[in-house]
Amino acid sequence: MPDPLRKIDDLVSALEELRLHVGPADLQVGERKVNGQLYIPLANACLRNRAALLYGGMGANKTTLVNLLGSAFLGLSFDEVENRMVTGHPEQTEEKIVGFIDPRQWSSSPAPSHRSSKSSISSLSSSSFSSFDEEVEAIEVLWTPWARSRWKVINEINRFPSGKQNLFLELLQKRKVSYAGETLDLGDTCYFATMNPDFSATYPLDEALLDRISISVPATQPDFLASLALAEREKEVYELAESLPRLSSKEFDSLPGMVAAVSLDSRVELSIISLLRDFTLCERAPAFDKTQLSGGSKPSRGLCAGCHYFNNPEVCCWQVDEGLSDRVRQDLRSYTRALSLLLGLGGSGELIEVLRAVAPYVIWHRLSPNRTMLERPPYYRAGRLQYIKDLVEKSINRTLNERGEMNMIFARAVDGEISPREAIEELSGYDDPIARLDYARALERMV
Amino acid sequence: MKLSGFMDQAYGGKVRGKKRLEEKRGEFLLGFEDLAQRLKERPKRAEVEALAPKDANSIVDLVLSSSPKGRREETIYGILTGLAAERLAEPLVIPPRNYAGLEMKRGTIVLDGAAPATGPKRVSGGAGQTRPQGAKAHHLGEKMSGGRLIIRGGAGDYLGQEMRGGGIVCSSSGDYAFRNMTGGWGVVKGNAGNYLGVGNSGGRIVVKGRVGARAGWLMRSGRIRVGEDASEYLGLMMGGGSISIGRRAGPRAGWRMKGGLIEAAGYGPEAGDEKVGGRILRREDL
Repeated sequence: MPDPLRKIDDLVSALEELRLHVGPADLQVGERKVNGQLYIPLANACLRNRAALLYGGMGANKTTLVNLLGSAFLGLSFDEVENRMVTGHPEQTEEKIVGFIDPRQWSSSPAPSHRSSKSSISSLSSSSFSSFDEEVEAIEVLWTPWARSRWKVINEINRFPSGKQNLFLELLQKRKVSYAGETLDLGDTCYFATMNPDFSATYPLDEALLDRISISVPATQPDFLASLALAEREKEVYELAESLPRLSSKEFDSLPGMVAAVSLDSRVELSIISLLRDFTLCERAPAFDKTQLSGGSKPSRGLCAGCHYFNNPEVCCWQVDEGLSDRVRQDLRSYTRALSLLLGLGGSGELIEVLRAVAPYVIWHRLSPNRTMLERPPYYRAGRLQYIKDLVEKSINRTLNERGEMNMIFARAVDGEISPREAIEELSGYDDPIARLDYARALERMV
Repeated sequence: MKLSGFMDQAYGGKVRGKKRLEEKRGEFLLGFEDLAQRLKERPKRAEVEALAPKDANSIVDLVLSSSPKGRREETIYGILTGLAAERLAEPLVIPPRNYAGLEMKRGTIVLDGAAPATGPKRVSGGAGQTRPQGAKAHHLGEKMSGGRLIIRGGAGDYLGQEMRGGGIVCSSSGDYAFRNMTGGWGVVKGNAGNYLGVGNSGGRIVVKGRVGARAGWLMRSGRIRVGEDASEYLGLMMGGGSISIGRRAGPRAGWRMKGGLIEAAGYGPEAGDEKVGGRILRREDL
């Protein structure tokens, strides 16, 4: 019977003992404190087809840590994992990232004439197209080790120009990679990316790509104590990496199933749904006119002027420019489960603490906070993650402590225990954006 | 699973979904603050009425002993003044405070800065304290549907807002007086501020002195009579009703007007510019 969790615990201890990763315990989950930079990539390693972004300056142990984890989870040497990584720079080509056409396939037989020019393709009859397709399918692509790997690391993703970033967007969206008409099914893969916005030749990450990055964690440079600990490291990283415990292929494959077996209780499910609605109430355009959903319709550009909830610090929606997509809901559920599994938490009241801990990291990179609010103390424009943490805390606390009665009224109306009209009348007394903008409208449709 | 079952699980069965008002009704009322605590963020008249004492004098005691803070408590205070006035045979005389006469249906309220406060408690800033010099109460007579509100002195902003019936008399008014009025009447014995009768669709307003800018803005119906001058943008984009100015209207009177009638002794520049309907008349032409 594989026990990957015990090995992961051993891995965490070994990383610290070998001075391969020494970080502060900055992620509070209930009573327990762990290192976020380590545990969030670990949680990502327990999931499949989710992408984790490590965000920080030079020497913050982003790339090395991800490669060390890859070495332990895939049971490979550190060098092998490092060789599979792709690193961003403006001149990086698609051929170097995903693969290239194998020239050897034409050395034995001559290339068909229609491959050589577009004009010959356009002159083909429909019957000829099928034969053309067959010929195209026959093209052999040599996929790079990165493309074939189940542990994909995109180093310095922000150094890829916008056009090349689209490659990763497509990859994360379709779970497939295409080149020269050939498609490679990527299967269940763990995705990691690192980002250092201090570098020159940095390109902004596209919002669509950011939305497909499931979780993002800031990587911090070692403080004084951590530096002292790192000074004790006498061997090179690749030598020390050989001593790390390694998971077998069976153990690595069993992790997603173990995560899926963690069941989330109603409190967590309700908090997740309410959290999403708190951030997304207007979809950044009036409900009756989605044509206004353009770059100009954002709270920071006056969208919320005149709204009853504008400038109310307890309400989240106007404090960020973007809404949250349904991917966030899936990510919140997945990472809550994964971190609960890693920390051995699952009891009553523990799961909600895991959600509180995980949610800011799932959300913060996808949103642009209101500048005026962010520039105020205690954020001073720098505490973007803390700002989102505070909003998440407000939303979850409100759902658990203040929304009970109104949620119950809405539920009773949906279940037919009270009439929708009576419920609308009752809900009109609640000055809550979800009651006003979601519940009341849903009940009006039921009348 | 039913949604109420899901919610029950989420809240561990602690939320009953029973109306808070039903739970609180019938309990002994300790005072205004106690009443305010039992009500929700946006209390309605029916909810206040259900929890308030039935006896008129007890409501008056509650009104006089109160020191409302914030909009929620001021709303409760306003509804209580209306309830007291409706149940008293004689006029209710109280010092002016925000929201006095809110949703009043009948009876008479006299707001007098010098009115004696007979409440059992005198809290700093409470009803018994004289308002600071120059400070005027806002939202007086809001959503009234009947009765009389007599203000001895000037009123602040939003006087008689969304009024449906009844009458208000005051010496002067601030901005947005009689906004969205649909019925009833208002008399201002002195001057009125800006935005008088904005969006009105009924009712009658008389101002003996001057009015500020944009009087009758988006007015659809009703009447406004001003004894002296009106400032700029009189009847801006109005669609109906009539406005009569005793002396001279300021610049751009009737700008983008769609209907209705404006009548004055004289007009400033650009009167009736971009007008698509309605009439602008000079009194001498009548």
